Amino acid sequence: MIRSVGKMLVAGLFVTIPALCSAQEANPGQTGQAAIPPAPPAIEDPAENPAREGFVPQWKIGDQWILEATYRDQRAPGEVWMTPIRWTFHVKAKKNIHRTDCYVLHIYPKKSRLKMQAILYLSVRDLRPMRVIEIFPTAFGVKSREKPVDPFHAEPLIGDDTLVPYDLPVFPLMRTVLQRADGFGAYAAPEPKVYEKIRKVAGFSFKREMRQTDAKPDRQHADAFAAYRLGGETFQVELADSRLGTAQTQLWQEGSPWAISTESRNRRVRLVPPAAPETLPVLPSVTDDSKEGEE
Amino acid sequence: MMNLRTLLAAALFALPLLSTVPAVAEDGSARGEIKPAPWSGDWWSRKRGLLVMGWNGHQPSPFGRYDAYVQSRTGRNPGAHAWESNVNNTHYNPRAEDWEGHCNGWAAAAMLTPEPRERKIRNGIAFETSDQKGLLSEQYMNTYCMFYGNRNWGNPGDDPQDIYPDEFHRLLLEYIQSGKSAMICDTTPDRQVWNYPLYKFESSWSSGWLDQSKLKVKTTVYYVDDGVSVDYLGTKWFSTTYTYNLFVDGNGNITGGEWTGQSRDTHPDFVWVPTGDAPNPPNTVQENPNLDPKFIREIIQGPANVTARAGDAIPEPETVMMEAGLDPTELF
Repeated sequence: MIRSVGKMLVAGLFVTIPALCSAQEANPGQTGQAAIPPAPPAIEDPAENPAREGFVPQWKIGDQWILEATYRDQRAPGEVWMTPIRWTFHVKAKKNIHRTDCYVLHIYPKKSRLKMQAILYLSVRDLRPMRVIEIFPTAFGVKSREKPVDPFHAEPLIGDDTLVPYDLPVFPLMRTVLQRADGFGAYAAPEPKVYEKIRKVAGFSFKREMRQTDAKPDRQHADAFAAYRLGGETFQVELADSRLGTAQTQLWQEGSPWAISTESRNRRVRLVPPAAPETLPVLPSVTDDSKEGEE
Repeated sequence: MMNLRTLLAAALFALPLLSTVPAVAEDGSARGEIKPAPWSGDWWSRKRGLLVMGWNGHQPSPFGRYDAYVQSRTGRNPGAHAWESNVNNTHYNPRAEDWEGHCNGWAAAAMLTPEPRERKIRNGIAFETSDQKGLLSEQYMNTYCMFYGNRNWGNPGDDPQDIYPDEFHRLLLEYIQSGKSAMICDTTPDRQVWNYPLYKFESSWSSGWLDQSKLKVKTTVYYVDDGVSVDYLGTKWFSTTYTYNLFVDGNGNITGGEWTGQSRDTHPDFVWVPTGDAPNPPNTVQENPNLDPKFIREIIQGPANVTARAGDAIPEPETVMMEAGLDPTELF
């Protein structure tokens, strides 16, 4: 009896100690301006091309586009939407980081005193975030912070703590249109993909569950964004955070560099068409104030 | 033998718990403080209307002085005082509720601008620190901001537990401990709104022997107070202690939380972090539309005595990057 008890305790220790160690390793403190972590193995495999499996936006150096974002004033009663901010997205370079080719995307407000920006290093292969730098204002000047991202843990990129509308789903987006023999499009709604969204802050690790659901575009969306039609497929993606009860719907269009529309309860974002006039059609509760967020 | 059995039973009971002990599920503590702290200032009650009425020994009022300065610059009265005095615009209303005021404007200004600490003379018009704080409190009534939680309007279905403590704890670490920014809390979970900048916290936690899935947390936060005289300089604070449990999964991840004890009824309602001044939303009266931030900058920034015009250029994106300590040539 004594021998078997001893065996059990020893076995228990073997189980327990590694578990403790691995748990501690999994929670490093990460705050402030983090240095670039040690280079992990490259994620690119030339034999694989996600674009073949589905849709991944393709950019080139020098590409620029503008998103117009409005934000609901959640402190105010009713539907009060702030004056829109126009954000310039500029593909500044291609760089290799963690042995992975990345676009370097610089995002900043157009003609505005608002000192918020973001610099994203996104894998050319599937726009997976490899490095995220956020710039924000304080009373005593502008600061920057490197947002911890794990390139080997797939999850949607959500800007929880910035106004910069850089939210991205996990690519590639699956093509949902299947052609049946009778010539009519058939559609089978795919199962939502569930991702663990891990946010590491100061030694704590906060876990949320993010659901990414690819869906067939609603008719209202298809009609509303006919102006963006470039002949390719349209993709509708819903990103939902179960704990906070937040959800946003994005519409992506082949040929467009970014989601042509992103809508949530508190934020509306539109891709400004390249040849569009300075202002977009008026949405409910939103006007086309041309101040563009200037003070 | 009985002792051995007891030991065995205890070991068998404890092993599954020990094997899932996450790194964070230990007694621990954290603290953070934003330095310098946001400044204290009056919250400019709508009922008292000091911004347009002035006060004993202080005439003209802050808005009267503003109009006079802009008129000296442009030859035209901008009408900021007239707009603010109109009760239909609700910024001054002798019949307003006692708690209504400009606390959100003051809180945002206190976070986003250095404290006005000296009298400024502009084209011969004196702006005391109280005038400057009053103008800033109006200018920042509308801000672009990050918003967390949902405001309790007192409607059926409003979640009394929101903002959830796991999100609140994350924000303390994300903003205060990292030195990023203070954050503004509505400190009352009911329909009233009392905005105060939170700039410092001290937190400690422990886990029970038999329940490693919960961290019992006690957090004391320090708020900047607005219960001060109009000419107060510096930071007056008050503190509040909240208690809550954080739920921990087998990998040490925080997956949820619950307010405990008195904090069930006294926790913050929502949290917001202002990021910049914003124009008045169309067809609203949230902010005085006749107040031009350009002229407020002219009044508040720069040397004590100025008669010339100040520059007002919008900074280039790369200039902002360099201001943040980043090197564009290295990053691009």
